[in-house]
Amino acid sequence: MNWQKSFSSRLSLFVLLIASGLMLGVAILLGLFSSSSIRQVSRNMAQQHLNRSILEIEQVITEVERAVDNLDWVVLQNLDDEKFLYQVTREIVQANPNIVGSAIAFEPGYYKGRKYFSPYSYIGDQTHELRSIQLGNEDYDYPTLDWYQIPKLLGKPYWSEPYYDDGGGGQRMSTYSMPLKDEDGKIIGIMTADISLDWLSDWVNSIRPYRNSFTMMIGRNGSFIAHPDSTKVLNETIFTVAMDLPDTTAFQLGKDMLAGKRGMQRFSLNGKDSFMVYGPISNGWSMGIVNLYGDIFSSVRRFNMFLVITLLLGLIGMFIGCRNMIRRLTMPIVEFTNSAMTIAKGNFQAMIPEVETQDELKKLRDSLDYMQRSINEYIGELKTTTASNERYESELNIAREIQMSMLPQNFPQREDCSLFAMVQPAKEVGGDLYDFVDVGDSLFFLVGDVSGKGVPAALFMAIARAAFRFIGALGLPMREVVRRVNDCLCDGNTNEMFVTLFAACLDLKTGDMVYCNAGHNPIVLIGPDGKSSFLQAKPNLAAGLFEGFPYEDEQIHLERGTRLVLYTDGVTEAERSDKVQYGEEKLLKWAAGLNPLTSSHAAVQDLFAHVKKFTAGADQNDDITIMSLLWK
Amino acid sequence: MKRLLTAAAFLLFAFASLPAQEVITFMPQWLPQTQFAGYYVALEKGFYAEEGLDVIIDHFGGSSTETALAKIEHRQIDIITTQLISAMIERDKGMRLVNVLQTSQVNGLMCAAHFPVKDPQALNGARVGRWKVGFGEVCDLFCYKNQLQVNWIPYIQGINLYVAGAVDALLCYSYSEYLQLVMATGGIPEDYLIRFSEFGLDFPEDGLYVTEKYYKDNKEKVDKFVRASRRGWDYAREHREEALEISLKMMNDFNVATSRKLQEMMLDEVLRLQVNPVTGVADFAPVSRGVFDALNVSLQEAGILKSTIQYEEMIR
Repeated sequence: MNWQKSFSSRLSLFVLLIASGLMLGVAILLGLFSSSSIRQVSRNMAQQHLNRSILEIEQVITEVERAVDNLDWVVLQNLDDEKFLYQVTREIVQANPNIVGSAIAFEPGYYKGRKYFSPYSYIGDQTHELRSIQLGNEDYDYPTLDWYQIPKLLGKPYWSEPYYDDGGGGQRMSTYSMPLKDEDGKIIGIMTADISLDWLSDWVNSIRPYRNSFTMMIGRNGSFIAHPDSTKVLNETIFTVAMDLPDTTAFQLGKDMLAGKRGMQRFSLNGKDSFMVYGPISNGWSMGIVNLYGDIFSSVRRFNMFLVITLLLGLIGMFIGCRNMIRRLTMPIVEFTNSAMTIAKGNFQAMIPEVETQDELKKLRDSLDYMQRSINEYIGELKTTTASNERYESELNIAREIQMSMLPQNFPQREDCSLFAMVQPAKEVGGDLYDFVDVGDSLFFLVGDVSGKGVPAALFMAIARAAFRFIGALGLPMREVVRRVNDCLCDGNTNEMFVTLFAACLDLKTGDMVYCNAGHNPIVLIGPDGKSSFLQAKPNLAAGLFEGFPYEDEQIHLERGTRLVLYTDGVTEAERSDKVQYGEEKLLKWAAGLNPLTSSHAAVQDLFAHVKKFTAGADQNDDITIMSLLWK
Repeated sequence: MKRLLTAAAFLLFAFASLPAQEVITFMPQWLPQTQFAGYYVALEKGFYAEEGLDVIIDHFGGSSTETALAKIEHRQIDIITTQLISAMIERDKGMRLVNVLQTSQVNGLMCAAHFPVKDPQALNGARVGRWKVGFGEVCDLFCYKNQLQVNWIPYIQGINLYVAGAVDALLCYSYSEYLQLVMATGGIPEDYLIRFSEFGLDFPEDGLYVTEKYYKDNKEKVDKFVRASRRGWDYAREHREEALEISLKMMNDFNVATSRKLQEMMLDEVLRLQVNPVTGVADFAPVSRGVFDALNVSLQEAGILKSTIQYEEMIR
């Protein structure tokens, strides 16, 4: 699918992204809130399991303790009756299903001077019959054993740490020992009850608040009394396990449990986020239930997975539905686009489809329709304007031809001189002019430049040229010719136009030249030796400005081989694109480099080329006129 | 409560196929544990068999009074391990034991208390748990030296006296009970501990012993046993994991429940105590005459020995 080309797909995707973001945000918030609540509930639940379990085991412990404690006085009152003492131990075992053995062990030498005396009754491992023996002897020096010595030293009852019964096929046992005290409070022996702890494993393993929960019990020496890994029971302590764990949480947990504290601790179990609730048992042991958060959240995860899949399917459905709906809604836009393309290709009468709604599409349709009508109107006007312009250009071309035809093109074909001139208007028509007339040995010539450009300048140029033709033919002195032309041009010159000009008359036989400058550029004089200079001339005023101005002429004698180059300011003011002008210095330099024998035609074209090369394609900003006269 | 009251005798016949092997019975002074790993390794790896010995290892039962010393005295066992001081005391009593190999080079006896004991007087009048079968003589020297009156509480084994708070302090070995205490309590503050080796009582402990008569009659056999045992210890030092496995197997054979972690830590400590502090290597150097003489003097001053034990007669 090309998303860049399909507006409906992009819009649908955009909607999809926004909806996904919103759903994700809500899901995260819900997740955080529910996670916290579930954690709290799970802790409470585990704590309840723990409390119930501790109560159960304390019930067993209490029963055993009572069985022994309640017979204390009976023993003390019947110390002399050896058989009765045996009977007491048998009664304790027989009356209590949890008790598998009971002893009344006396202090060495206390009982009738015997070093050892300890009636002991127990249930045989194989036969399950109740047997009675005297326990102490040289090999079984019970006064040095924990079950006897510790309660004696403490002066209070003591539950032994669990141990494997050597003679009982390896069953786990714990012994409750209560000191027997005489009337003086002196300890005369220890009365005991043994309980088997084999039922503990199954019972503890049944305490599972969650699927992978497990329960452990530790004794006061930190060793495991119950643990799902049976190899750890009585072999490992909570600290040996903690030593192999990377963090110290379990270590502190062990210390807290041994200290008889109750609480909850979160920790990492084999990389899994877990927590343990723990609490003390009345006999000094401690119980803890370990729960994995993974278990607790497993059902939540399943629900979340279902929710995610449902949401994904919903989002996909929403995307497809959105796209189809948007496509249908935006179909007019596609049709408008096609119409616009048709119009763009030149079919300005293309049909723009109608829409029935009154919404933005209707406005778009109306806009397109308005645009189409506007284009048609504009094109109509453009056609009219184009036709008008074409006609104007045609007229201008005709005017150009007329103006060009005013300038003499038949240059004198004489042995004693070479004359050539050329005009290049900046627009269709221009205000520059040149003229010449040779009568006998006299050559009259001029170059002029009318102020302004275009049609007005061209008309003024036509007047000036006609005036010169007419007045020049009267045979008047040069100054008089210019004066009269000036007066003629001033007459009725309401637009205050003027013309600068340089007019001269050369005697082709003698080389004497009379000239008059009316505000025109100084002409270039190139001697036979090739040296170039500007001809010194009085500036006077441009013609047409001031009626009756007393123009004066001047005279110069030319050497044969002298060349005169007349020009308008279109040459020296020709500009490059960087506004640098051609200038008089470059003009003189050009003149100095010109071959003295070059024909006037070639010289004019060479200067034109030189100027064009200088301007390097920049637009011509003024009319250019160049005339070359070589007197041979 | 019915404990097995006598030592579990378990016969191990290694390399039974090897011909004409001399039988020798051997009893370490305590229950099976990595304290004796070198001997288990020598047996398991066939070092004894290579020497032409058929070694039978017996073990002392935890609550039995039938100690290794008693057994060798009654000629029920050929060779035993015991501590130097214990052997000197027995020799003083008339049992002429001969030290044929000194494995321990550093004393590992400690005292763990429930209160700070950096000042020895803190132990005065305290109830201190002590093995019924002995091993506490260095502490006797300590008490004598510091004029302490201690209320000794004899016990068979384990650390429950201490954990239950029934005693103020407990004698323990750095490779055994001390490690059990650490594992049971999560650690004991350093100022609650006394390491007797730091109080000028750094007397070597475990070694191999035979009776003088047995040694005279079986010198070659004893030498073979010593050679193979040294190989066993050297191998254990280089292959601790394997030595641990072999020891655990031995403990399993003797039906002794234990913690792998404890046995691993014990092996490390026992091997550390075998490093001669003078040479820096485990060279099984015999007890020096200087140390032996100092012990003679100290033990007699404390009234533990009545006569001077002759170095040349006891140390081979």
